[in-house]
Amino acid sequence: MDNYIDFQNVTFAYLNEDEEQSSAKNVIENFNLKIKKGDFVAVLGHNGCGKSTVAKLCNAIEIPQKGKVYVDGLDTSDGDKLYDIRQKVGMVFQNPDNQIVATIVEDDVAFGPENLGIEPKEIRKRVDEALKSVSMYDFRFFEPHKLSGGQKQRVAIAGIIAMKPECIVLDESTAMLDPRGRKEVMNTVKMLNEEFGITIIFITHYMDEAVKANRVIVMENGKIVLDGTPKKVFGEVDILKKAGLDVPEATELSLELKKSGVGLPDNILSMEELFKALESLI
Amino acid sequence: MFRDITIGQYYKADSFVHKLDPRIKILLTLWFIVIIFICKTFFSLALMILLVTVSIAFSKVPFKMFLKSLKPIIPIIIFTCIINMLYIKNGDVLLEFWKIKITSEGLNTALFMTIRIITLIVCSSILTYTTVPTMLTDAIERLLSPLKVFHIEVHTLAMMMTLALRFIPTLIEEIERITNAQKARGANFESGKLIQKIKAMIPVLIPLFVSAFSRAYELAFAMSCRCYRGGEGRTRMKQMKLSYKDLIAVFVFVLTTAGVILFNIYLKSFSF
Repeated sequence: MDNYIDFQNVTFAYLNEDEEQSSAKNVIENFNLKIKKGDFVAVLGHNGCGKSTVAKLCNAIEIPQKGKVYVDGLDTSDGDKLYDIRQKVGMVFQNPDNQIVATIVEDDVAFGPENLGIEPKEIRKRVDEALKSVSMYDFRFFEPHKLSGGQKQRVAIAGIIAMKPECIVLDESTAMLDPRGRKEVMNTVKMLNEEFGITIIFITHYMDEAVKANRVIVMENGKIVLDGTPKKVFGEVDILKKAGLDVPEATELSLELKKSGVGLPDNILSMEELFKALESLI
Repeated sequence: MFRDITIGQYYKADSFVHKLDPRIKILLTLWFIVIIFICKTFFSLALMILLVTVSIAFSKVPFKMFLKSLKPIIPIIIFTCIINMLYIKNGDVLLEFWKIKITSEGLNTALFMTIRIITLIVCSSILTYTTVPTMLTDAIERLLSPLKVFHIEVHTLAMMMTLALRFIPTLIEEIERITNAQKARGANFESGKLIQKIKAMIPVLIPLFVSAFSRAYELAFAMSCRCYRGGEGRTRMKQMKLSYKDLIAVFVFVLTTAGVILFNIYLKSFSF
């Protein structure tokens, strides 16, 4: 199985119960996307471009009206496989407060494995491992409301890891955090991808986070307009601007410098790269 | 200002009572309430007081915490005392003026009731001081699980209790935020008569309800993403196991109950 998540000609619209299918507006139409196992994919896009819908289609919260979504070869429209799919693809949401279930950190991390009906001893082991992997083990007896936003989000990630997923979808999970919390979450996710080989789908509208991914997908009006490595995608300044997005600050600055005649190389994505390039010029 | 609140009134300590199985603690509390109403003489009551005192000593919870828990019920105690003293007319008359007659029997009953209420409150406080709220809801779920036979969704009820406990601090924070936002727009919460003050709360309550509903929606999403499908097939990480400590506690209660019954029978004539 090379393609871990496979969208095949997917069309999806949010339907009201009494509404005819034809009258609802399709959020995504004839959508095709293949994501490889162990990849780190960032999905960018303006509000309402359908990126959250893509996330919900990944773990069978929503089922497409047309086309199929396959997760590790399993069809998401197959009701019998629902919980297998949700165990494989974990999801972290935007507001950390609204996804923590228990009043104590370790109990919350145990919630997922408990739902899967795993042996108590094994749950204990998984909870401790999961909390250690997000560096929240020392906080295991804390009450969630006494943690910072970044810490809560890491607890939420631990809750997913304890279910031993193969893929984690983060739906704007850094949007409500301060810069420090964003950094904590980003580092955690990067580590999970590199060390445990977990496939990451990172939905965001922060460019500097998307830069850290292996593959960047830019969506506009339910369609993929750009798809490739960060260097390739952030080179397409015009298309990005048209999709209502900015390029990372460092890229924009280097482009402006280049326009005014400074001999910088192409595809500068981070401030560090820019520093190095400027240093070599001096 | 609300960031440090703890839900319930759990008092953190490492004691014999803290380590008891929460199920046993709940059952023993119920048992205690039953015996306290079986007590007929002051001797059996004294035994119960002894039991409560010993339990307090073994719970390592400071005594003044219990005085604090008794504070709100002082009016109830005074009220029961007055009613008992005024309406019981049997026995020797101790005091008589105008239409009021206080008899020995009345005084006896008033005293009896007071001790009953106080021991009752103190006993249930021991339970809540020494048990984390989530453990309480867990224990209730396990104790009520036989009701599943009658198709009562015990797990769902317990889950609702846990979620309610979980969201109290979140909603308090939210109230604070909304109140501040409304104040910044010129709302006045401090002055005015009671009715005006209540009216002033409406602009706080409506956004609070709206956000509570959207939180509930998101939470339900997050829970189903984590494979939640009700109580069926669900395991628990923390198992409740009976230990020799629970046996000791039950044994102490059995002894006390026996004592109470014996005193009730043989020491009935000794009374004030």
